[in-house]
Amino acid sequence: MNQDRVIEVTNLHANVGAEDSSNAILKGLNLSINAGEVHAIMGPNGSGKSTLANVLAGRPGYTVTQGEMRLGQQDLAPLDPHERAQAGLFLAFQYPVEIPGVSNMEFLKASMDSLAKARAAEQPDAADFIRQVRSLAESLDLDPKFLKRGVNEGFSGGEKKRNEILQLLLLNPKMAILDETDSGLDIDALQTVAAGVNRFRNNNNGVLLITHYQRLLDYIVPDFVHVLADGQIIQSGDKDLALELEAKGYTWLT
Amino acid sequence: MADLSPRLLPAPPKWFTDHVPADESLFAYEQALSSPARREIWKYTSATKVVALAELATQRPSIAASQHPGIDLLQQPGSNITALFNIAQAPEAFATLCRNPLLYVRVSESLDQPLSIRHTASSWPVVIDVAAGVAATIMEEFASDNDQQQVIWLRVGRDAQVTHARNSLSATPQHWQFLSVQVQANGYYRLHNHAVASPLRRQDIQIQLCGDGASAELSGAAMIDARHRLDQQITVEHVSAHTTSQQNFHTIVADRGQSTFNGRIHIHEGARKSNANLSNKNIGLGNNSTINTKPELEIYNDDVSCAHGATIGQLDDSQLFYLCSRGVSPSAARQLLCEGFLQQCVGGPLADSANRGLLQPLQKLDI
Repeated sequence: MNQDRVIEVTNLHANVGAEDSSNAILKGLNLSINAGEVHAIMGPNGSGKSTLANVLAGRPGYTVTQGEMRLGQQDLAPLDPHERAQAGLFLAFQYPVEIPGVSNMEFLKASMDSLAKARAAEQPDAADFIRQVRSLAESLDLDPKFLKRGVNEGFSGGEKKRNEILQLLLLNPKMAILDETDSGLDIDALQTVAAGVNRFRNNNNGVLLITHYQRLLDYIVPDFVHVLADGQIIQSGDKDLALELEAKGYTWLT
Repeated sequence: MADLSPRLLPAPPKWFTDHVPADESLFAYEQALSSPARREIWKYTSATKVVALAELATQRPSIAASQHPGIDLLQQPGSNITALFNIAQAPEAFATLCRNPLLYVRVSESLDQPLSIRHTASSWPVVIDVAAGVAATIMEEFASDNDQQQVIWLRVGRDAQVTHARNSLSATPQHWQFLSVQVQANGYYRLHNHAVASPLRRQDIQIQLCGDGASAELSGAAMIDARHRLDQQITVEHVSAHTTSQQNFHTIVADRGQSTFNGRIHIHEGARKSNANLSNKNIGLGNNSTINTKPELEIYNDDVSCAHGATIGQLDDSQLFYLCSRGVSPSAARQLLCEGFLQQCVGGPLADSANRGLLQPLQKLDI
């Protein structure tokens, strides 16, 4: 196996709901991402893009019926969501969840402490941590005041997505999956978010962008573009494939 | 902190005994407790047990303030105070007056230090009269772990502002707390009510907005451990026009714990242009958590705006997954969500100790 492989998905079949459910969404999906690569997955509504993101992150309510998911050398299937995060997987949510009463800062600290504990690393010094978070917030055009507010509570769509990127940069995972992080963003916010992802990407990590629109890929240039239709990747190419999809739609492929 | 020695009233004052003889008031209140009208509010707590609590020997609560030029303890409260006591509305509380001395506290100047009330046992009934235009903070805590009861009447004068923080965090097996507040015109009353439950903890809170523009804001956070009970009976009466009330109560009930919340808003005929909101949210942590909640509106004026609601649920799966997806273990995530849920209703000058007291039972739970 390639030692630089960040994530490897082989013949993945998954259902929404229980195993015997007829709601098969993923039907034999294959995907390999090496360190240093950015992959984009595009596809029509209902093709299984968000299901792929959720299945990889271990969201309850999905059942893997066949196939394998590996993060580096590690089999993801037996791991709970928090263990997958501790192993280095990160999902930027399409709809970030609001948690009133738990401050953003408290939440970020709990995440950092959990990851540090799992990796037997030293927990970050509180003052350094606050400085780091504040500076990240400023770099993403987020008012530092928002760190005292409840997690995503009353945030605008753009603020929620920027908060996801803040977490991405802070937690610094091996593999980042961004589920339609561009949806609902105006051009300025899109550029800020894209700049954040570009800042994150390096030769040691992998990025999977799930998106409907080619526009995001003007700002985050992918190494590979895949088309997901009916639970399988039916076409792969470079960034030009996205332009072609933008021009022609998906029907010529399906 | 100087302790203020009151000049005591050796027996119920004349204005009181003139109104109802002591023996008769005892009878009247026992009658009232068993009346059909009161059946509802005593549905989940035994009135007999509370009657027994009212018979416990009482002590003068400690009332301390580091600076108190504006505080007086008067021997004769004055006849105008009789308006506070309505036997039909609060027969249980009325009876305690017949048996005990009364502690009457008059606050005539704004206080820059909180008025701190510490109950060391069952307490004498307390009347706190906050004069017109005065701003005061009251902190109320309970030091004894024995069975006890407290009865407090508070009058918030015209244009006065009172913040009242109450931490009921003692491990008292049986505890009855009665609080009646009258808010005069343009007065403002703010209650931060933090409570853990006990085998029996009963809180009666009666607010009357009886002058134009009077307002009250009540928030409560409660943690109910296994085999413990908390029964909160809250009534807000909008008597006058342009009165507003806002209530937010959050309660977590562990497996085999029981919560009862009865929140009644009564808009009187003369209370036009009034605004009342009540929200009670509950989380049950176990399959055998019991939560009884009844928000209630009684409206006799068309020109008002009212909303009330209650929810009973479990911790939110999508919030749990969000926290777990950031590496937080499920048990730590549940803990964090419970803390956050209560945190939304914690505030005021006793917030820090409230947080410690509320979270302590939570941390012991395997959730």
